[in-house]
Amino acid sequence: MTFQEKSITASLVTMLVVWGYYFFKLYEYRRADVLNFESVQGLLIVVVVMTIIVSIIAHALIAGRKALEEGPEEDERDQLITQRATYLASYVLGAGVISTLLIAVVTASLVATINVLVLFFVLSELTRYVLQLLYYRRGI
Amino acid sequence: MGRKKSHITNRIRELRKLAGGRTQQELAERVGVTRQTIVAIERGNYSPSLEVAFRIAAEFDRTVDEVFSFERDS
Repeated sequence: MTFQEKSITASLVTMLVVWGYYFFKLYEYRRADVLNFESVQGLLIVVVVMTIIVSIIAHALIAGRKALEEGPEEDERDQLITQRATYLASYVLGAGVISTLLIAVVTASLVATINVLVLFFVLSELTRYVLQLLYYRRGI
Repeated sequence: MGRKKSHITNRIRELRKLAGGRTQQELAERVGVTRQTIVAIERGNYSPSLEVAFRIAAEFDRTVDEVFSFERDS
């Protein structure tokens, strides 16, 4: 597995674990009937900080091992893979923006609006990472 | 999603052997790409840019069409 693949895999796992935790907590808040803007705001801050810390640790470990390997950081194939995956993932994000607008108009709920946007952001990032890994494995 | 095979085939592996067993890593460093990209090109999983194709051909003192060939759909 190359440095890029390890880095993407680390981001994918981080995203799944941290944002999985976020949506699980959201579900718990809803069941406990304490789901409101303040609870979502606090949870979002925790999750964003967790994402940053876990990403730094994971990438530091990977970069430490990369220093022992040879070769350039990134080439045209890596850039093409990133471009294609980002382009396709942008459709998911676009669908999320439209869904968020609809939810905002229909429910007039700030909590619902924020979480639909967060959900589609997470889905688009997961799509990007999975596509990148597929392109690395299957060719582009 | 099926494995995407390129219509562009190449003789890089053969030319590396003819050039005294040059490794993929050595070729990658000379051309300025990662070893994985050379692997992907050799396997037909990636079609390089024109510039990289010229650089690879130049490494073997060949023209681009001596290294790469295009297979039309039948």
